[in-house]
Amino acid sequence: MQRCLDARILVVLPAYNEENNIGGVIDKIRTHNVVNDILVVDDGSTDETELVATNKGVEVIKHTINLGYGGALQTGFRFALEKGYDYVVTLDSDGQHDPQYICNLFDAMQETTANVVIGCRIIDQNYRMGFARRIGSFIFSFITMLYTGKRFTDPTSGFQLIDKKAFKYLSKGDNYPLDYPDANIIILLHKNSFTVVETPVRMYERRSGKSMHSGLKPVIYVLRMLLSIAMVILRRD
Amino acid sequence: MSIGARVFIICLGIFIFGFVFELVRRKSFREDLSILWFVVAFFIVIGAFADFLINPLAKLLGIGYPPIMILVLLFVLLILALLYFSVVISDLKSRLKELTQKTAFLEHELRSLRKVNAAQPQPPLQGD
Repeated sequence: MQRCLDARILVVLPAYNEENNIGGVIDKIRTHNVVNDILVVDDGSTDETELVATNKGVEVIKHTINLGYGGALQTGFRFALEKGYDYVVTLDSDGQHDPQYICNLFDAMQETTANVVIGCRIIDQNYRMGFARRIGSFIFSFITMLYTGKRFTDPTSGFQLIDKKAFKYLSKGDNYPLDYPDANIIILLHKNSFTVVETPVRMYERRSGKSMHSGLKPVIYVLRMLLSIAMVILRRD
Repeated sequence: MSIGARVFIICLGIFIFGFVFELVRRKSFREDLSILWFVVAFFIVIGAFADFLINPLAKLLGIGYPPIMILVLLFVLLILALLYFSVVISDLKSRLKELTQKTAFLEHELRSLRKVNAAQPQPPLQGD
């Protein structure tokens, strides 16, 4: 755990209308005492997300308009690059990810010398993945395996540890999508000679609010992601 | 096509040309985006004599009723115009992202500087 604290790690929490969850997530990260620095990227929230985060004493950057999950993460990467951090941990602000596993990601990165470590869900009865998400995960996992030769059980996971080389690359221009960083990013990173591995972490159902994977959105999500993957594969850098 | 119809189409083309020209002159329409509409106005004027082109073209494509050919060409033009504006919107979205991120960073810097300033003791005013 000390090794984890010694490294220059920035936790990036992209948040959109998460006033009910963000405070708890920040508290939980502090309780586990695994990282020192937290950045909340408020992606144009219309609620009190920014105020709640500011009152918790963490760094807050607010977008004037809603850019999307990927846009918020890229702002975090740019911030980390500017402030000289060596690693970025991305966590969802809805309380799904357990911050005590940050060190597991860090250890996995040290052992494998990977550039990106993805936290995949520990299969137990505490977490029930939605039907649409299960189907999406299966499809993207299969495509990712075909391209990279590696099996990723949970390419949709937003719990990731990214080293400087990788987040520097992702912070440039349109290297990171505004809305859907997912299996397409694993394929993009693999294509550009970055190593991506995954390690098990515990995840929970979101505490409150509406998930981006609810309603009709999953169907559109799968179609757009397939298009995005095709473009990543076909594009010449 | 009757002379009246040809005159009407030519007037329509000239009106659109003049209208777009005036919008550009008043700076209500960007020059680079207006080019497409000047081209559209030009084709409308040319359209007054379209029957010389449309009839043989419709015959070549096996269209029994030649005026349908005009609709087909209009449809293709509209699709191209929509595609062009989708590309413009896409480019604008990328620029908007850059601007939003830069503004957010500047706002963050400003807040940090204000915090630092507030923490520092203020120098006495001259004459105190």
